Amino acid sequence: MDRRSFIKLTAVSGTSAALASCGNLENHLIRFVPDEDIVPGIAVWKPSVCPLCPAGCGLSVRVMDADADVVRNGQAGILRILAAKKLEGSPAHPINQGGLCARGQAAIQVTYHPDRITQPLKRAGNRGDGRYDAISWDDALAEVILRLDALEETGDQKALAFATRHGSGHRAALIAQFLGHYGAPGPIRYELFDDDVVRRANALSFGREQLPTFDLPNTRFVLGFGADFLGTWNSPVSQNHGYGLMRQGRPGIRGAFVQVESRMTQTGANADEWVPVRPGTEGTLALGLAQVIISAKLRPADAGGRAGALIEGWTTGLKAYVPEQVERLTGVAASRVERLAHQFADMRPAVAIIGGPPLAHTNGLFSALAVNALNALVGSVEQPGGLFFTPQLNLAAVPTRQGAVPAAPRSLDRLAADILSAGPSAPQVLFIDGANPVYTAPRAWKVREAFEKIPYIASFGSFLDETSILADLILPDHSFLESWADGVPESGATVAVASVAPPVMSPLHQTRATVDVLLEIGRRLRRPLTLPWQTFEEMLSATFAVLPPATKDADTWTDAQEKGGWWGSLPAGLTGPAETATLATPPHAFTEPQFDGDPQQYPFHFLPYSSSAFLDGSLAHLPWLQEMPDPLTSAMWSSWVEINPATAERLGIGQGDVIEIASAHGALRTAAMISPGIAPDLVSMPLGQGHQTFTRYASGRGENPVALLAPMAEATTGAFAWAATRVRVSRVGGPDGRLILFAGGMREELEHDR
Amino acid sequence: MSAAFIDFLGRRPPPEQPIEFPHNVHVAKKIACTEYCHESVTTGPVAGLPSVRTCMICHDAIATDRPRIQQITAMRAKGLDLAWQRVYGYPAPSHVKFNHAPHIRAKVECATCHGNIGEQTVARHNVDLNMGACVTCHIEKKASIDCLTCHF
Repeated sequence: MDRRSFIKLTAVSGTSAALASCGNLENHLIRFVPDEDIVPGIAVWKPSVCPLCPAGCGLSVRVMDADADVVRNGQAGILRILAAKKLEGSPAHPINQGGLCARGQAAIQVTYHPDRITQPLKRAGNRGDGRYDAISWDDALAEVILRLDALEETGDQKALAFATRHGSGHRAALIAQFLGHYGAPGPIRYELFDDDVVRRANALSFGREQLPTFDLPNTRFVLGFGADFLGTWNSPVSQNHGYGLMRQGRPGIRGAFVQVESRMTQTGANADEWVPVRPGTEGTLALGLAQVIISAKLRPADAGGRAGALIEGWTTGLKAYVPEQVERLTGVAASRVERLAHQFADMRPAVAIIGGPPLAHTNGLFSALAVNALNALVGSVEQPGGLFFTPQLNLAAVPTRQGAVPAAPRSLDRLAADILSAGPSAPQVLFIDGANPVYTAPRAWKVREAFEKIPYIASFGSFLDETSILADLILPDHSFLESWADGVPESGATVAVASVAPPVMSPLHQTRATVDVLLEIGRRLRRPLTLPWQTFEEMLSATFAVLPPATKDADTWTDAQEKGGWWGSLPAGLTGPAETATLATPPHAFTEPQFDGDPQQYPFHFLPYSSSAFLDGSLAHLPWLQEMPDPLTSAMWSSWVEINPATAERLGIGQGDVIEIASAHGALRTAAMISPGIAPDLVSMPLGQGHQTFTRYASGRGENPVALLAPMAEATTGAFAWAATRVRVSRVGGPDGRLILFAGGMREELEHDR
Repeated sequence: MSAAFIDFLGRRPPPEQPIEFPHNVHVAKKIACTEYCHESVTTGPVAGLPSVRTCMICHDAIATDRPRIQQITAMRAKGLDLAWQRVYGYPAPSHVKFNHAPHIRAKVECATCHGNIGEQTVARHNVDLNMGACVTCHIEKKASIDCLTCHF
């Protein structure tokens, strides 16, 4: 074809395409009679609860009329519905107080995702190849009930396993009740970035096995130890709100903020002073500060109380942590240790925050205990400007609840090992509720290989991911906007909070609320479970009926549905787990962190971190978050490895070069991101990309840093030590376009006087 | 070609309604537009086009022997709604927002903008609404002529 005829053809086909699209499409539409009365053009705001992380922020959802494409009786057409259009933070909610993070804003895409599972599916191909046939709810439920009845007939109820994520609301309580009544062990809760080390440390130091809440608005000085509390850790929106007030909320007083970490986080980038330390020595620095405070008689050692007593040498003045020794261990100059100690003691109130990487070393518990002791020493526990524990509504104390507490579950790594060794305790049936351990667990645990051996797997998830693609049956849940939403936040407020909200909109697809599906399964078993509720709504209303009303004549349940929850003082008897008794543990001392990999062969520490967009990767399917530039690097739609400029120069690595990162457990190739905010012996990578199966937006994009991680464990708690792997780095080739930046790279401005 | 041209000018193509709705019959029977069929006109920005459910409130009992009524009764039985098309409306590039409710409260007659519907069967686009018409009326009625009143 010559050029002239090509242009002619383009013109002709373009015009005819334009003409074809000009006719009025509305002429060809079929409309179905709407199910509800809708006033067009009027928006109403309804409460809900953000489900994307455990912080439990309250939402205000803008709901308005919309036309939805639906299929009814095999006929495609349009249905006028009331649809959620925009999510904002609920101004009345005590956790987020009107704020909402970017991830929460993007949560609206969960409901309208083009790859959402719209109806029950039954596996048609081999496990993992993703071929499924549609199946009716009746057939699907009958199949699950048959499996559970078969286990019950042989007295093998313990062979039911339930994998879920960390949660503290009614949903988690219902799952536990279901398993307890059936006779199965409790749900296996696995999170890559778990906070169990903090919880354990707080149980030991303060008698509260719980994440802390920080009174940032009233504090004068914040000392952060690795905690990305403005980005991803604990209750970020609540902490951002408090941080803003700390900096600018009090006339004449601007709180100071120093961050100690080995890779600059989004939070560290906000600090007045950034203190890099050797990975795994954060606890030593905290005790170095305590040593100076005690020896300079700024505070008496016995102010440390129970938390101080847990540290070896506390009563004798912490001789092992004099500034010179701390300098040798941490790399922080002795003079700086002394200055920070005086600042921390003199600027009252002051609070230290630890979270994230420092706890993901083999000595993580020690670091957490050291920071707890430092907080206790300066009197910042349960005091204005210090740390608090949110009073917890104890769901187990609600009267309609009946016994049947499930047995303690195995950890995920033990479960996988049991299955692979084909022991008698290997599960026969596995339920998966939103967890994706095949993606987030270290490869050495062989979670995928183990799950493939389980005879029957049912998943309740709304999307096919690396774990749910192994399922034999998929029973898709409603989205959070289509079902009852609830949450009992562990932290983020100084009053007790129980969030609840009715469905915001009718379900778009043939999905069912997992909580109600479990209740129905329980009723239809050969030996029905005696759960006290017919529906999840009944369970919620039973709880709220026992909570005190805001005013004398008000009804708590009605009020809570309108406001999006209940908050206030808990009556006696409903408060959360009692204080844990003082545990007899020997005092803790610093031990060198252990790392997997020979330092000669693998010279760099490797630090995966929770991504601002995707957290642990569970949000990589939302396109708004894929296209959101990372706040520090401006990278989007891609993976990268952060590397110090001096190290990069030594290895001949430039910005965007393809480099290989290898540990003793795996290797991956990705783009180099030259970043001044990282120690020279450390490389770091955000989690979230590198999904094999996770919708059209995340599948096959970037690399998953979990592939490199060694199965190291925190020495005392056994928690997964995800920051304890060593790697080697080598250049493979020049930039090949795999790194996508929204703006330029990172600027470095050195301050030489520090 | 003419459809493309009209589209280019930002005019809506003449609507093709699912049934020939006789406005004149209903107006003659003193069925108030704003109380029965376009009831959201008093509360919101959009007048609303009635669902087949609205028709059946009366036509379950009235005029059930007429072919058009039998047609919509059959539709409802199948769960199908009337795919009404809007007759009026602005093209997107004019960036204007119109809210019916304040005009109803200011006692502007429907006919001011929509012509004498009571003499029409199927509603036709027979009043040309341009910015001049809006501003003239706003001046006459001493309503705001600030740009942001309509363009926001």
